[in-house]
Amino acid sequence: MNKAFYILAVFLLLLGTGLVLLPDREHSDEASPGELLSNLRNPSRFISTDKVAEMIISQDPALLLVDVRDMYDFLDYSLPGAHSIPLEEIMMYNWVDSLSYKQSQIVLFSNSDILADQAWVLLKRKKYENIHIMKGGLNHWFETIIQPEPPAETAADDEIDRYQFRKGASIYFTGGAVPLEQETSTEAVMVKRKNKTQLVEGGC
Amino acid sequence: MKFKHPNRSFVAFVVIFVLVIVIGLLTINKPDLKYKLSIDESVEQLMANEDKIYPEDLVGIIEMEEPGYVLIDLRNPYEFIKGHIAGAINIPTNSILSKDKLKMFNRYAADSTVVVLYGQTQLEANGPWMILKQMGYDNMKVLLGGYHYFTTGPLDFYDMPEIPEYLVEEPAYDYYGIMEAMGSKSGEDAGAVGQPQIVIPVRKKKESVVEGGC
Repeated sequence: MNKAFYILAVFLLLLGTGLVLLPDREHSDEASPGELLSNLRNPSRFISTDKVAEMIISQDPALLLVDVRDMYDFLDYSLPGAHSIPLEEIMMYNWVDSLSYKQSQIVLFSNSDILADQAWVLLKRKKYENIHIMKGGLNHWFETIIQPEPPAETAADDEIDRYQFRKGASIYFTGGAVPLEQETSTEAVMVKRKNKTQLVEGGC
Repeated sequence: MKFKHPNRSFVAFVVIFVLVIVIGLLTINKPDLKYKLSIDESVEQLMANEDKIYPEDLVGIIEMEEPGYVLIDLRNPYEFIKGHIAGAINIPTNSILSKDKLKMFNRYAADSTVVVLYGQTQLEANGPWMILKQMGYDNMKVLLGGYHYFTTGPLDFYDMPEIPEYLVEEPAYDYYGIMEAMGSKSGEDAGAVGQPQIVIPVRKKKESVVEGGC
């Protein structure tokens, strides 16, 4: 046998033991700080209140609303169909079923967007996808959807369209009854019967 | 066999080749940025809610020139040039993890200088703060309200409303009350002005017993 083969074999063995002794590579089920930071700059991490309202009204099956405030706030008021997962429990929740489903759109919200953003960073570190933050939170929700400000008369058309949508959405979310602006003047139809004057009336 | 008589230079070549690959594998893809806190630890740390700097306190810190504080402006350089809090250092959000900046943060951590991060709003500073915090920089704090509140809002403690504007997570409205009010109001309206009333004409009963007919 050639000596070179022995040398090669010994060398490979040494390399093998070296690999065994190497420290474990960080398990990559977490996004690195760098990735997390670049995710922060992705504008699609926010979703507008208008878009959320639209998705609720059209009963989008992909929408998963998550209220990250605590239980008491959730019980006081929350968006229709929202799940209550307080920030404290966000990592304990069994997300796998709902989050691994790639088509779903998870929308986190709180009173403003700080708590939702914190939940977002935690979930993003675990590499969950399709998570959004409702921009402005419930405070903004009430300003825009529930109690929308009418635009100035000189406003652009799309602004007026948006206001019309918001007003409709407000009606949808507050009770469903349509407040009539101008009274429709339908007069009641009275059927007047002619009084018979004579007791006995002749026939034929 | 082809390799029955491999010459020495061939063996040497193979050895060097393998070595290069191994060294390459060890050095490449090596994450030099790591989290120090696990997810659960960082949730705990979030719930502790200790890393807030109130704007009115910051005014005091700047005026008294208290040592042990450093202000970091996370906005982009253009905004920074337009105006910033006195004494702030500009480190735009996307460069906080660059090598020299981390070296700087390490230095601050070593002499336990409190690093106050601020963006235009609190939200802007929230992400960077969480990342640095999870990387183990315990001395990071966030300025509530951000630059916007610091330059526009009332900073005198006695001028402030009971719930200052910078506590953005406080509900600004009585959600339940508004929903109740709007719901019931539209309900009443529907009854009052709603549909036109249906008038059912009352038929007059014939009184006379005998009526003529054919």
